Amino acid sequence: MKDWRKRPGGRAGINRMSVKESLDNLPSGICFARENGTLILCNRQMQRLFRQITGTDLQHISELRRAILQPGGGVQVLDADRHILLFSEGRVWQFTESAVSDARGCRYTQVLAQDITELADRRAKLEQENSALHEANARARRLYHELDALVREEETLAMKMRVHDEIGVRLLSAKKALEEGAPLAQLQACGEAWSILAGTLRAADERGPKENGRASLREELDELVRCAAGIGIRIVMDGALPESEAPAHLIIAAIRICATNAVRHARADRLFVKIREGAGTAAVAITNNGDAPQREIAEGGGLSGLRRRTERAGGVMTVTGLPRFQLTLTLPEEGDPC
Amino acid sequence: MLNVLLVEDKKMARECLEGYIAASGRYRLAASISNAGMAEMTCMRCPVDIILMDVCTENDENGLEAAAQIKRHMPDIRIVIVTSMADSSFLQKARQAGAESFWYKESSPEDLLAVMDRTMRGESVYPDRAPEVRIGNATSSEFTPGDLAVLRLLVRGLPDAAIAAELHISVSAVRYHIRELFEKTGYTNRVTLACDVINKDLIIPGF
Repeated sequence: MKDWRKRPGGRAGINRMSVKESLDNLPSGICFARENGTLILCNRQMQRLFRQITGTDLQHISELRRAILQPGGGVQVLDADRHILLFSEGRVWQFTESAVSDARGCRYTQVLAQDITELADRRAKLEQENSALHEANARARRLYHELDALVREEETLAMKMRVHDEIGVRLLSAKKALEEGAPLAQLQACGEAWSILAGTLRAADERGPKENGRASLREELDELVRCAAGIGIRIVMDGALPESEAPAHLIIAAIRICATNAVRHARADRLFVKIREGAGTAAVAITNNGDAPQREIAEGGGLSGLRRRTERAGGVMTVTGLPRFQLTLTLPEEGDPC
Repeated sequence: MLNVLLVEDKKMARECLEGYIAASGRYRLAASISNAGMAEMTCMRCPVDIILMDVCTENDENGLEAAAQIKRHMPDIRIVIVTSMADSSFLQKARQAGAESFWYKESSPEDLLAVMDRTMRGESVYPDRAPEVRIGNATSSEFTPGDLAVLRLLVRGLPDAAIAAELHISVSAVRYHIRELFEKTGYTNRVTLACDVINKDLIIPGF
């Protein structure tokens, strides 16, 4: 390095050589160009990066812009919008262009190249961890939804085991009473207790295989149609409920809400329900034959609750009032039950 | 005779309540359904004076929402919320829905028929607080409103940032409440905490 005391301007002087020298020592790349694009200053790092991309020296700012957008020399574009490039030695550089002016108001273009390799690595790692977290959260949500059903199944099983034990105790005490020739009153008491137990088991058996009393989808819809007829509206179905429970229950809820609203507000006696499935979604459109609304629908408790449940399941609900009422739901076949 | 609509999805509880009503001599069972979503339509179909409404019913239909809907359109029908769930938010939600009374199946000292009679006379009968349940080493009364708000979203499986956004608090505040919950209960991970909370009906996901 030259002795700064021997430079023009002496100790306090700054000249082109010193400016170029200090810029060349920067780890970042930097260059300046006039308004017409001609380079006036370009440091060593920027020239090195440009040479790696194109194999030539940088002369004009437009060459640099082209090189950043369509690099050669084994350099890849990682982010075209933010001008981030991956070089063959594994380093990641970001190029940023800005307009600058000097003290006299002359305008120049500055391009800065910064090594952001560590930052890019950390971002990639974070994205991986976030993806893993999202998956874990989705698994947890499924678990939480199923947990309630699992707990109830456990309770049912516990109750069955208690009933089983009770039967065992009754049988043993009856057997003992018979073997030991117990008094008549005791035998009659055993018989009565056994009769009550047998009656309870028979009644439970007659209620059928649905252990928790849940109706099937078909039964639920049939019950709704019957009940709707009881309030004076006939439901006309075009299409079948989806087999998947989550969207099917939402569709049934939508039919029910529309039926009560149609009777209450539109004096309708027919509700038309069209269900279609395809491409992983189930869609329903519901209209009625009643009076058209006088103005756009304001969603009350029923419709707003339905909207909340629909959106939580990943579906879309639209309600139009004019010229005629129509409610549509589009639901994923396997929606997020939460 | 006053007409009662019973909304209860558990078979044994429903049969027990049907028995109460039949034996009362002053109430008649108008209808007995397992799905709160059908309550409004049932009230439109047959005369009902009072509803015994469970909260968590078949197909996740919410009895509190059904109660609000019925009070909006049929305000003369009296509603008694009947539940065994210890979720403390149900008391406030029941009041907001307009339910006249509230009765805990397992812990209310007053007889259900007495609550129904008082409700029909125009009284509003609510317990002072939800029943306490044990969550790990803590009782539910030890949880602050902030703890419960965070817990309610945690059992839905939301990540910390989503909980913070929904409650309009910082992520560090969310983590503070979770640490507090761990410290109070003795649990060391969210899954076991959530399992116990759901198992004990302190929070009912989706309600």
